Amino acid sequence: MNDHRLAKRLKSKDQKAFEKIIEKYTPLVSTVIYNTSKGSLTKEDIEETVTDVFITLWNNADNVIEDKLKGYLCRIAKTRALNKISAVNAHPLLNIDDFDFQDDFSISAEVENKQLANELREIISKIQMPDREIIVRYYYYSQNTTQIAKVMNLNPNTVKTKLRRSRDKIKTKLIERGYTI
Amino acid sequence: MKTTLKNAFNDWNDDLIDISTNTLCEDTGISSDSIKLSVLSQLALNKKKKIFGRSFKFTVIAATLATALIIGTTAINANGGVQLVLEEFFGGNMNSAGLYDGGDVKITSLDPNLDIEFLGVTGDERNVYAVIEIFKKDNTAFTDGGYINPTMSADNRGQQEFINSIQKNPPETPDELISKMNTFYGIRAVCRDRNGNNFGFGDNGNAGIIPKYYLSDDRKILKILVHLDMQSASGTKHLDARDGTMTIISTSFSALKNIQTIAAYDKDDQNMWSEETFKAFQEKCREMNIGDTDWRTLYTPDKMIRCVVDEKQYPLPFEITFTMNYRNNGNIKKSLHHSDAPHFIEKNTKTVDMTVSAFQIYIYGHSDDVYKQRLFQPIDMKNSKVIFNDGTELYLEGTQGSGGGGPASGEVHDSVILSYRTMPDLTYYLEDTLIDTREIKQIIINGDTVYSR
Repeated sequence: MNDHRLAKRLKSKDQKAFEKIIEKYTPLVSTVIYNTSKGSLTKEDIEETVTDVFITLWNNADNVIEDKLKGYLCRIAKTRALNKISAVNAHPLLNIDDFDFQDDFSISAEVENKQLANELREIISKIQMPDREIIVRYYYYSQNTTQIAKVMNLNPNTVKTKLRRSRDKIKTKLIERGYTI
Repeated sequence: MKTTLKNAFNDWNDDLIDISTNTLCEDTGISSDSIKLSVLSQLALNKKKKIFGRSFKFTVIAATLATALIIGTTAINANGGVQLVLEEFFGGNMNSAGLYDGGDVKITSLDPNLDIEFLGVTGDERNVYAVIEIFKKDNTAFTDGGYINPTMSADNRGQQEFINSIQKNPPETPDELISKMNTFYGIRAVCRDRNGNNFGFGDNGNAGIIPKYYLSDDRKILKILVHLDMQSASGTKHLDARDGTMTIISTSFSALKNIQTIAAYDKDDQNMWSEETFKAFQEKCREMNIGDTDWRTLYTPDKMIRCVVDEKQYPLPFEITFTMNYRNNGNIKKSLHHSDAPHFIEKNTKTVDMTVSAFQIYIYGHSDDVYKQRLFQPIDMKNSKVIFNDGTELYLEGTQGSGGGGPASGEVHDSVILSYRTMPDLTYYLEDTLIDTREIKQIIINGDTVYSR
């Protein structure tokens, strides 16, 4: 059953659909939490956070947009992972090979998040493949460059280079749109 | 104050690029089964915090599912999907009291384009309700534009239409009747008891079932509620349904298009079923030159529409087999006598057995006064009700059986079936209600209390 149907049924509080969503998305949700934690959360912490994500999904089923179930779940997963890291006072362990000191992009926090998110989405949608895929994997799904290189069959340094170029493009576009970087 | 680009990516959008989930997942060693159990258990434990709008219902389901996970059964319980459909049909709160579960489900689709799912089965000792949900894999609609199968009624080929269809050439045997029903509805059921013996009609174990089709607004989701009345399937053999097997065989379904409305009535119209209203409708039919059987009734959530329709048959070939594991018996059983309910049970009635289920109340009477056919007085709906622990009340609408027996057999028998209603008058004939038998405080028939807790 596809996500559209599952989400539609979830919205009508169909527990069977809810079960199917748990079965289908536990691997992805646990991966997003694992990646976000960068090794700072134990397996038990991750399990607890995954459970919390699905309970949040059930309680907020009305807010799910049928075609965006996966994204909605990932968003909850990332937020819950960050909350959990903060709650257990953990410190993400950064792999030195994955460290990118040029990832210094920053933007005024006064910018309304929703507006920024929309602008980013629009800019990223115009970046060519496979650079776009790398950006999405890195920023949305919290995969590190090593993981991305492996699944996309690329050299890790190529991934880093592509990321850097994409970041520069995004910065330029945002500046053109009046943002202060 | 600044925020990093990573933190700015807080709004996922799958439209950016649909990355295969498989290539995103790492082996975290976390199993979906343990998460499912943990989630469902926590939801059940949190019931007092009212996490759910309808906490009681979900609690029952969650507990059931959690149990199912622990014991590793493949049974499909009377779960959310079934409950939602039944609630649409019955308008009441579904519960697990006295219901069947379905297990060992086998689905065979004869059309590779169909995505068929068995949501579950439930019932009491007499009625079995199974719910199936179907999609087309290519996400196209089931019917042509305008051809619907309206929610509420799903009575697209209703009982009256079936009766009309067989009036010219009435069946002579029960087997022939079932055969005509199967053809008319495009769906049939074969039932077997726990020993594999047929208990439907004829050599093939066929039982007459009445399907109700719920087509979604976009005509892409089809839910089928199959109702099997075990009593009509095979006399008193309905008890054999416990641990028995049912196979539902579908060939087609029909949809209707309203091409000319004759009359439309609001759901709350108190006069909808009055004799005057129907006479006025018949007069209108005559004026419009529409014959007695040339119109159909369509229901929407707000209206009942009598109209001329175009009907189309659509192929829907599949089979589903499942067992009926009778598990939680929440039925209330009690013997009654004339002295218990003098305004309901006739003096000559010797024994009366009453069974109260989530769906209906079944009352069977026996007498050795072979010359008195009727053992019960007509039901006075305004003085017949079920009162629950929280003070709410439901009215009871009675349907009297045909009676039977006589001098040859040395006894007579008679029956009454009572349905739960929210209104004392029949304002909308599809309004049925389910109850939780565990919450019953008192049952009153014709002013006499026949049960109290």
